[in-house]
Amino acid sequence: MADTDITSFGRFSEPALLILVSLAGGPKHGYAMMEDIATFGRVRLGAGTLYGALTRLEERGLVETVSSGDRRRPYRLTSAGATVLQAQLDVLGGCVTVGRQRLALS
Amino acid sequence: MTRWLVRLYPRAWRRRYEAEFVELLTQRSLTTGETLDVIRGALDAHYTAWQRRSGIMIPVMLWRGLPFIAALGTFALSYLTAALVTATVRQTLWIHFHTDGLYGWVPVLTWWTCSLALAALAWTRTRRWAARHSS
Repeated sequence: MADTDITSFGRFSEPALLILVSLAGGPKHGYAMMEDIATFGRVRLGAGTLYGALTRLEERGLVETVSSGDRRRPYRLTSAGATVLQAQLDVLGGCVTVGRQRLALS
Repeated sequence: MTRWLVRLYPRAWRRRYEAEFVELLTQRSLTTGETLDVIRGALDAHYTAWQRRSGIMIPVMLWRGLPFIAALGTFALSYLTAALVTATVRQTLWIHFHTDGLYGWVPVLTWWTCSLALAALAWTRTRRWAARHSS
């Protein structure tokens, strides 16, 4: 089974997480993903970075293409992708909670 | 420009992603940063394809040794340049002012410091790069 741990993507880990979050809102093609990520993540991903992360996610079965007549192929989250995203958000949620508590204490 | 950039990617990658990637690039204004990001993406795609074909994973020890090799290489190259320049400077000074001693050491010490600073920079940059790519 392919390694589905996105933290093993090296410099593509963070873009991969942003893509998963973006696709959790519904299927999107590359440009729509970039715009969405720029809005909620306040990060402008480059096309090379976006496709570097997208390639890895697709190879591991975390995202898949939706059939479309358009040249701009849309992608959607698979059930494995949703599980990985949920696990990542749980970890981040824990960090956010602890961070906020510690900031309030200091 | 867009077509030329996409041609930097491996053929197998292009078969799968070219159409949509070109479409994406034409929708965005190609700034210098964006162009560099695409070139970096192409290098990554070649590296990943090579890794898959060869089955070779660069050993962890090599990744750990990279900063040392980079620092040593930078220092050697920088100092070699320094030595050549310094020799010329000293020779010129001697010919024109007949002076040596402490004054002659100033360029040598300057180049030692510059070479060490460059080596330190190479060390830190390579360590950061290796940490990102070794996984």
